[in-house]
Amino acid sequence: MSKHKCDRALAEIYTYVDQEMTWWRRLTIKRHLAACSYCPQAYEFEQRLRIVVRERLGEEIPAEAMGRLREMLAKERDTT
Amino acid sequence: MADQARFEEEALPYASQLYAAALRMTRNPSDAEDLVQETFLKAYRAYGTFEAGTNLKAWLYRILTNTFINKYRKDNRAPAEVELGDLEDIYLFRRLSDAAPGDSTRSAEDQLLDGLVEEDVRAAVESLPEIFRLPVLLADLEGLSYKEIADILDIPIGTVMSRLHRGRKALEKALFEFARARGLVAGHE
Repeated sequence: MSKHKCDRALAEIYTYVDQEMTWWRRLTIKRHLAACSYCPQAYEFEQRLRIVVRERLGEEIPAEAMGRLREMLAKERDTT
Repeated sequence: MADQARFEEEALPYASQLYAAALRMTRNPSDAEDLVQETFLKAYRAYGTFEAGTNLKAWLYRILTNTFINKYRKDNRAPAEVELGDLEDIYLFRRLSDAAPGDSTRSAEDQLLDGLVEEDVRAAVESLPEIFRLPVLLADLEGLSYKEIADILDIPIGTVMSRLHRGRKALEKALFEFARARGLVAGHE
C-alpha cells in the first residue's frame, strides 16, 4: 500500500470516526481500509480509544448536589 | 415555546452529563456545582424562549459553556491561541505499534486501554489548554456534532475541526505519558 494513501487516510481518521465525512470521501477511505494492512488497526484503535475516554470522563452528579439543585429550582418557582 | 412547568422533568436528566463537563471545565467540584446551578437557573428563566422539539441538550450546553467562559474563566479575555507544536497523527497507536509490532500490537492496546484509570483520563483532559479542552469535551464526553459544537462555541466548523483534532492529538500524547508512568507501555522516546 502506498505510504501516501495511508498518510491521507490517517490524517482524516477523526473525521471518519466522528462520522462527519462526506459520503464520497468515506467511500474512498473504506476502499483503502479494505486493501491496507496497517490502517484498519489504527482506525479500530481510535474508535476504542474514544469509547474509553467517554466512559472514564463520565461522572454522576453527587446526590447532595442534585438535592441542592432541585431546592434552588423550587425556590425560583415559588418566587416567580 | 416550552412549558416552564415541565422544565425539571425535561432538563434535569442532563444534570449528571452537565456536571461531568463542568468538572473538567472548572477543574474543581465546588465551582462545577455552582456552574451547573447557574446554568439550570438561567435555563429555567429562559425556558419560555426555548423552542420545544429542538435540541435541548445542545441548548443547555450552550448556556453552560457561555456561563463558564463569562464567569469562571480566571482571565476574562479570550484565551490566547496556544501552540501545541507539531502533533503526529495517531500518536498513541504509533507508539504502541512501535513498541509491540505485528501481532502483539493488539495486546499492547488492551493493556493500555484497560490500564488507564479514570484519574489519568481526567487529568489528561484537564491538561489541555481551554481552547482545545472545550471542543474535546463537547465531542468526546457529550457526543455533540461538529455543527452543534460550532453553534455552542460560536466559531466556524473548520475551526471546530482543527481545534478538536489538535486537542485530541495532544490528549493522546498526555495519555501516553500517563500510561508510561504506570508501566502500561514499553516507551522509548
